[in-house]
Amino acid sequence: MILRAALGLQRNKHSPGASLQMDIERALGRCVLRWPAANLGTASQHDHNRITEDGAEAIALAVAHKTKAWRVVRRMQREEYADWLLEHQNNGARELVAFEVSGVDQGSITPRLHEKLAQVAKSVDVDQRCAGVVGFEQPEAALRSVEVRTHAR
Amino acid sequence: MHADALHTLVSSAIWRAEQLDEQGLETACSAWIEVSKWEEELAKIIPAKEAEGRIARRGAVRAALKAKEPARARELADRYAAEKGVPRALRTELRGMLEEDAKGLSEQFPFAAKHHKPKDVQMLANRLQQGGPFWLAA
Repeated sequence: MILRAALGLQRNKHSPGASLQMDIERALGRCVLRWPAANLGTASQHDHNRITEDGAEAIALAVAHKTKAWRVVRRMQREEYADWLLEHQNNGARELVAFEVSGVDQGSITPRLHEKLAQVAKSVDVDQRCAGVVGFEQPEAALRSVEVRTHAR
Repeated sequence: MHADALHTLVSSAIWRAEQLDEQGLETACSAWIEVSKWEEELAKIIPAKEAEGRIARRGAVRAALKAKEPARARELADRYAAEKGVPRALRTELRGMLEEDAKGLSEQFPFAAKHHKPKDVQMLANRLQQGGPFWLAA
């Protein structure tokens, strides 16, 4: 995933130490993004879309951990409407987060964010649902949560 | 095995299975069986009253269906549905997965579906798988 993130960033002319624009729950910020440089000559060995999607997952998980202290529990099958199950502590109680991630190689990430929010909203058995979209052109990352609902099942 | 280790194993197994699926490779089936087995192991140590237990149970059944192992999927679904204190919603979801798969089978083979119910065809397939073709001659 990290290699594919590196390839996705470098094919968009970014180099390690690039500034990542972040939109976390509509709060804007920036951070420096560092990664082990990849050999762009090997990019053709990877599927083009997988570079974008897997690369986005690596960056989105890093951003979720840095900004929200969320940790990975496990990957989920796509029928759960989220890619990852994350956890965090809320006033001493463990809470689970369904995290759906997508990447955009070129262009605006806003339509994709809306699409992914609608998808993750269907996820059950979690305390919180969140979508994360990474754009490689700028580069940028947006994290947005669906309203909090408690599922008593 | 500890839940953290199983979560790591199921995560990498899902990732592998998804990548093979996307490439349309036949080995995807064996990758999904591996997913189903790790999910089953998780379900053994996490009860259905916990969210991760429900995710694992759904995952075990669903991955067995993706691996084209309906007999295993049905056996797991029946086992989980019979567990004490299993939420009704989970029972419904598991049954829904099996029904959806059977519906897909009917759509794939419309002529056969006119004459046989998917459940009967699956039962026949299970018997062939378990006992070989010789019971037909008995």
